[in-house]
Amino acid sequence: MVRLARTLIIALCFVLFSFSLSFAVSVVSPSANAVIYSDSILVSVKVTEKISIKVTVYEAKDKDELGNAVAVDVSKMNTDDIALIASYRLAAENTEAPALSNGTKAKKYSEVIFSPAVNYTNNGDVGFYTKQLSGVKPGLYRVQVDSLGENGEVISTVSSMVAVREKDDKVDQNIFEGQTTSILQYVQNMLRKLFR
Amino acid sequence: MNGRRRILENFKSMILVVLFITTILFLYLLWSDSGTSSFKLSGILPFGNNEFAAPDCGSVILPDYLACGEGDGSFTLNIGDTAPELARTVELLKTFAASPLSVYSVSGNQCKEALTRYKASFLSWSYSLPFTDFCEYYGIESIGGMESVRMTGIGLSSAADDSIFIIDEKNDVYYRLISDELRLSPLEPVPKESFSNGIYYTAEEVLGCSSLALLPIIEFSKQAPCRYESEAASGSEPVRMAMAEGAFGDTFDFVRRITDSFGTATYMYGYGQKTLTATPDGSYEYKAETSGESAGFFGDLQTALNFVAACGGWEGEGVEGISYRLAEARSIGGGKSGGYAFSFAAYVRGRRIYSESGYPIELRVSAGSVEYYARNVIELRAFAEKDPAPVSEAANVIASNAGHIYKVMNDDALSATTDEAFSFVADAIVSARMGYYRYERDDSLVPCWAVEMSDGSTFFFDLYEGLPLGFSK
Repeated sequence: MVRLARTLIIALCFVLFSFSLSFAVSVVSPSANAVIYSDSILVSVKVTEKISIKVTVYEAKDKDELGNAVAVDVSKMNTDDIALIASYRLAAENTEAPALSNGTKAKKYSEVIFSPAVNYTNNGDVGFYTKQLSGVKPGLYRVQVDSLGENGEVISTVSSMVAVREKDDKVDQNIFEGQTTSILQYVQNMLRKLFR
Repeated sequence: MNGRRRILENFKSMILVVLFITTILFLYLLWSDSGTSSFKLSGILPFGNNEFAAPDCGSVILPDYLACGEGDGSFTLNIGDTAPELARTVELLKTFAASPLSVYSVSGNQCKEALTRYKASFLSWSYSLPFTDFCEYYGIESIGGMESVRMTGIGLSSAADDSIFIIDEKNDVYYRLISDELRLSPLEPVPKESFSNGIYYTAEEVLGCSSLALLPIIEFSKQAPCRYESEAASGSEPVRMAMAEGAFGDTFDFVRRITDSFGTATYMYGYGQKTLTATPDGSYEYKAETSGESAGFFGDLQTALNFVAACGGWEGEGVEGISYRLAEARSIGGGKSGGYAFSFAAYVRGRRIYSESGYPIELRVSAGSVEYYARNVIELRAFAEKDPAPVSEAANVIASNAGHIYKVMNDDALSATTDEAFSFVADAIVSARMGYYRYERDDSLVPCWAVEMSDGSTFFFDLYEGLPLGFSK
């Protein structure tokens, strides 16, 4: 009985320690479930404990009709879809796949390493790991940050999934809605147009 | 015989009268306002024959940087020579102002969205320029409705290819000039191959705060410490005399010189109408009473430039040229008797030299004349660079020194947790730039990060170690 209690206490301490470490690490950029229109990604990880972390970026892969690994089509995904895919990735095997906004079901995609693991040690109260990843093609990516113990073992993990789309030059027509001109400016604009 | 003598006496009397009148005329010319302005002692005395090369205003009001955004949150910055970009923007404005256009006010969010979420470019100044004076100086047709506008930046965005944005960040006012005919595209970014300033992101994206200051993601630098000599140390007495002669000009012969036991020399004209103080550390301070009229921003700036050219000059004589740019311009007083306070920062190879004691050249031009001039400049004796070495990242420098910055910003009066201090500091960042810190105890320039905060304070950290070097408030 005493042994069981001791084991439970040790297990509880370990869980609490892992829990506190997961709070000590947060992915600032890319923000979780974001849709990025770019060919580069800024990875910024905030660490608020004196610990080491390992940062790895994965690219999710889908399969085409011939079974070849291809980039996930994210052209119609929104942030809710990415959040569903991210949570379904961690769900148990027999969990039913949630439906996405386009009517299809979420998948558990295979992943390949896009940017190899990099270790960073924070020696102060607050530290940042920052890196710009260039040459990013449209697809689904996941930034995984592992908190490492003294012997390099993974204690806790946080991750952030993002969809990268091609740069879109389409202008939001509502961007300048509500821009104003004073009566004086209006009259001046009118006169200017009339007398040119 | 008597008649001949009388004629001679009359002739002598006439000569005396002519001489008397001529004397009065010369005295009038000598002492009257119009006379003194055209008659200058400095034109006769040897020191007055120097021809001072004063730069024109256009060469010192270069923007701090040109930022080119890709629309994905990343920016490339040209913080070196921004003269070509300014010239291109002036040409665009000239064409724009000559075409039918409308002026609209937009919100800060709309302007920032256009310049950050879309392909865009913008020039940025650390001080505000009067827009109308700017247009007048560069021969740009005046734009109705923009008379009282000041600007800290000019932007172009693919979100509105018919527009030029006039930004006044200091007053949080933004204007959109819309052309009915012209279509523009943002200025092209600097080619990345030759780019050594890294990629920039907003502090919001890097640190997760509310500040939109641009922070560099840079890994390596070639900057190395260099030695300098203060101007006075390179020849104290001749430099001091040249300064005094330049400052007092015509009245130099009537100047008293007082030297105290610490080596501080004070030159004084009249009962303190003009004073020049030269301290042993190599700094100078000139004060004068003024009367006249302000010539506007560019007129007063040119007065300041001419005065500096006459009193010490703009060109360093060291092995590496130091250039100066206007870093701060404040309006003082109002109307014709008002003027401007100008501060000039020193640059070496596009990197700014920072000092805890402020700017190397500061002037106040009031009522059309210089009323205050302080000078504490240096000359580089050897400029050095090293093989590219990893720098301490800007984000980490700010994060690891947040407690120190927080204490200084709050005069050590408030206590805060690590998170609170970091959030406070991150939200208050205005800029983070690489430069040189003037380490006066060692007469050396140390490669540094200069982090400017919203309360006007600037913190300096070692570029490679990230340790605090000092701060100015």
